[in-house]
Amino acid sequence: MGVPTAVSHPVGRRRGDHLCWGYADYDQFRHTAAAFLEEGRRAGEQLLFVGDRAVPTLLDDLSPWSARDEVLATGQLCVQELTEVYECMADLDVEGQVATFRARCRSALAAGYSGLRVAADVTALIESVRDWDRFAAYELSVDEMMSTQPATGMCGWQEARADRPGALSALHRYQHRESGPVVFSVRRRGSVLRLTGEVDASVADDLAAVLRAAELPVARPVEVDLTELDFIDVAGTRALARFCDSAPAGVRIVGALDGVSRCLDLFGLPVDGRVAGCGP
Amino acid sequence: VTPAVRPTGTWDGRAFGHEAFVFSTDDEVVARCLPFVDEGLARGEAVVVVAGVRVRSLLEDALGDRLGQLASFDPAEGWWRGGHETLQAYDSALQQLQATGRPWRLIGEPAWLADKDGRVWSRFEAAVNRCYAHLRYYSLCLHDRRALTPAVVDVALATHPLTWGGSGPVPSPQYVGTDAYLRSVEPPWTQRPPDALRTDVTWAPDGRTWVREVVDRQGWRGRGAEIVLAVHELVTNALRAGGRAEVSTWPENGWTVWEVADSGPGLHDPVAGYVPPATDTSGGRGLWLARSLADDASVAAAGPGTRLRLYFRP
Repeated sequence: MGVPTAVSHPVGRRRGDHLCWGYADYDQFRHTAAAFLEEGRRAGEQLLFVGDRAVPTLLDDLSPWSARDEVLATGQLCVQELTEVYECMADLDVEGQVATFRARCRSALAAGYSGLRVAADVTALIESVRDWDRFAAYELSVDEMMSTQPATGMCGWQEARADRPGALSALHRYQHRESGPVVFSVRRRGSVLRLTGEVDASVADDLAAVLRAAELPVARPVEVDLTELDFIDVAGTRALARFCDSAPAGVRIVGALDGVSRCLDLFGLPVDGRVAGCGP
Repeated sequence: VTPAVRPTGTWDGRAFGHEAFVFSTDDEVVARCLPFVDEGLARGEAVVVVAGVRVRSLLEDALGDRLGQLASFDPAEGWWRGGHETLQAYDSALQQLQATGRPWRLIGEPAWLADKDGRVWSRFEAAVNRCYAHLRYYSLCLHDRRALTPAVVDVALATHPLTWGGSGPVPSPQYVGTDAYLRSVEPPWTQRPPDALRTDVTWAPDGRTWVREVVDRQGWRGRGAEIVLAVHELVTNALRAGGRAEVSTWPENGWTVWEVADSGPGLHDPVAGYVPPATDTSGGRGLWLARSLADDASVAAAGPGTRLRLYFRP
């Protein structure tokens, strides 16, 4: 819950936290990942480190971490290549992949760990996936899964190589960015999309991209919860209005604050719980 | 010999016709409206009536069976919801009629001009001469001398290019033009005081942070969020126009003024944002929103750019 939080350190995370780490150079990321995993080691979590490199290289990447050999020996740490974790990167199987992580959480608990903590450099996955929407839908699903499992995750990517890094960041509660500000997030819980933070003209395209990617139930209206949205302007509202128009069963907007309502009124979007957009 | 009455003169249904008809007796209003309605029906145009109680009852009696042929016949009483909301509803009705692709005509009695709050409507009457110039309708605006003050009637004649000449519409001798009228009622454009708070903005969220801090210090409470939003929309437009916005604020005559200046090239049109933008989801709503949030606004050219001022009264 809560507004998106810009973070400058990977630690201080608890189970259920979903963090993204946009980086400029990989050397910085591997140190960040080591610190993130060390926190999980102390918490007795099963640890997984994933990247687009051969396993020995990934192990080298963690060499600054003093406890690396110990957690490797006990089996607490598992290191895997990206292609091994994501079997088909181009046609990412969103539900299958989420189910795999959920199963790994259960195995971790069964093995006596307190949860599962994953640090993954997904830059190559973002580059390989055939459409951006598929990856964004995956992040929305992972975020939702993590909110109900004892899982903690950090998705890293090199910002210069990621398409729409601002929109990708917005799919996380905790965000670290190299090249842009942290201003909003979108998270999905069932058929509810929860917007937090501030959406203005500078990120309206990112909002539109995220909303497009949110896989929507066709049969009933999507609910958009604006309780945690502190600010939206005309450009941001326009993105929301277009989303309402394109939703198959319309959109129900709830929780709009006064200033937000003012903009929604301008586009004729009802804020009283009635369905906006093309209803059935 | 009485010349033949031509209820819309040479109006050909291709553009906007805007007449102030001022009357003092019931007979006058019936004599003006009946041929107007008949001509419209004969031409196959949609005829729309929005009027106060008295005019409605006169037209009901006079039109008889023809009442059923009108596209709509609505009370003015329910229409007034404050300037911007009324205009938004009016505009959306107009856009629907415009979308039919055929000319139409309106008998409108802005009965709310009798109230002090309703007088802001005169500004829209002036602005629509330009904003609605392309709309294919004739607006016959009724003004009852028995209900309105002489000053309000004078303003009607100053803001409508046409008035009634007895057998057809004629140019209103008192018409002053859109810009001149708006300048006469908007707050006077003063020199910005040297001690005004000011900042340069190149990124809108920075601008919002600054405005929020100042608004808090100025002691606005519930209204603060509206000021932040209004100024933000102007900043967004300015950044789009020239990549940079200068934001400043100062007290003036009991108002708080917020000015946003851009380096253009933009529109210096004093009527920009006066009427609602198109109802689809394309651009143009920021300025309309800013104007509707503020108590008043004015626009001036500044070199190649534009200075917009929003006025807020505590």
